[in-house]
Amino acid sequence: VEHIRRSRLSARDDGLRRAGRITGWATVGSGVAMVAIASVLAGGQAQAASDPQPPSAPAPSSAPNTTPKTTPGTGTGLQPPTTVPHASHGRGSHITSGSS
Amino acid sequence: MTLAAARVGRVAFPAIGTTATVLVTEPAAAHAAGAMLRTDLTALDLTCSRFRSDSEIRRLELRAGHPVQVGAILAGVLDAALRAAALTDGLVDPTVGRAMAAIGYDRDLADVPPAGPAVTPEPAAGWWRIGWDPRTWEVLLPRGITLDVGATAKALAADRAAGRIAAALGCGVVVGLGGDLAVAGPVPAGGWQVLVTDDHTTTDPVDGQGVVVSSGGLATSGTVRRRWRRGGCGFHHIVDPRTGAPATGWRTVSVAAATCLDANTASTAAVVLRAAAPAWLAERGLPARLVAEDGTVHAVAGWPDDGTAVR
Repeated sequence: VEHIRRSRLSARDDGLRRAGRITGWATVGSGVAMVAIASVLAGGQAQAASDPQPPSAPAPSSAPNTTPKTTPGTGTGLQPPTTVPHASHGRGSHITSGSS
Repeated sequence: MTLAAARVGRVAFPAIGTTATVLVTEPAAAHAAGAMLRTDLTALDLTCSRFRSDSEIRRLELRAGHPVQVGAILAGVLDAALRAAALTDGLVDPTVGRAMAAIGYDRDLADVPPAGPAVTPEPAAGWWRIGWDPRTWEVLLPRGITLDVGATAKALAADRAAGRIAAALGCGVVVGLGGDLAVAGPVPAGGWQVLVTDDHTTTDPVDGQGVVVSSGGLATSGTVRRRWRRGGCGFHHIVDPRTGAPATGWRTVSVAAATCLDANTASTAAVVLRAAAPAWLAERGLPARLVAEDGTVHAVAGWPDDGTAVR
């Protein structure tokens, strides 16, 4: 029984650590890359937000709040595509995706 | 009925150790798009190259143990790399630089001897040791850590370049950096047609699967290129950070996601995850095509079936 209890506590602690890490990234760590990706997804409309900031004026801590939490790619997890690829029935291809 | 891919503008050139390609829906805009991509990649190489003594990332390592404020490009790259590490529980880890060097990949691939004596793999130092403040762009890199941000930096660069070019030129864009593709802006009639295969230099459709992509990113990670031998054993450039040994099990993994960065993060993690990869990808709803070393194809999370896939 003691072994099971310890195992459960260990699993719970692991889960808490993981949740804490992810939460931390969500609330604090959505910095430069996330703003940059938001600008990409917004078709460049948010370009100004991702422009380099002078060292004397670091990225404002409120920056993450300017990024909608629902924007794909800026949340806490890896984001699926808005449109799933579908099979091509054409003969040609524009480009190749393979190992590089 | 079969349809040829719609006509688009295209510029391709070697850069950052691979092939850089930009496609635009307005052929007249191709030259300008190519110039913009070259500018981005030149800056990326000067910032992040593991093999340039004058790169910002190498200079950062010389100041290990002290907080250093980095420039905008490296700040974005580090933020992306650490996010990828956090989201994959370290399966994608920017501290694998020493691990790569330990197995022989310590210079430009063209200069890596194709064979040599036996080597001993070395685990990654661990991404969690890096101090990073995204508000001030300040990094505290512990002594002894060598960064390798190649995979995530390339994917982030593709996302940023595609968005920038689409916004500046007002057309649809695909940026391809090796196997990593980022889509921005309107798509051509019939969508962007992509051949997904083992080797990004392949153009023969017999060797892969054709798919249509209209947004986001598509990345392929694999073990068939960037190979060399040490002590009679084969090595390649995707290592398991936990052991430092080359990942085995999958020949290639292709993933579609909202961004090229997320697609690359997932495809790299999947190669490392071995047999657990299909379930890991499905759990996250990431459409993917996985090709096992024996050639068996697995399709997950809605990836289109070409008639050969195991589900």
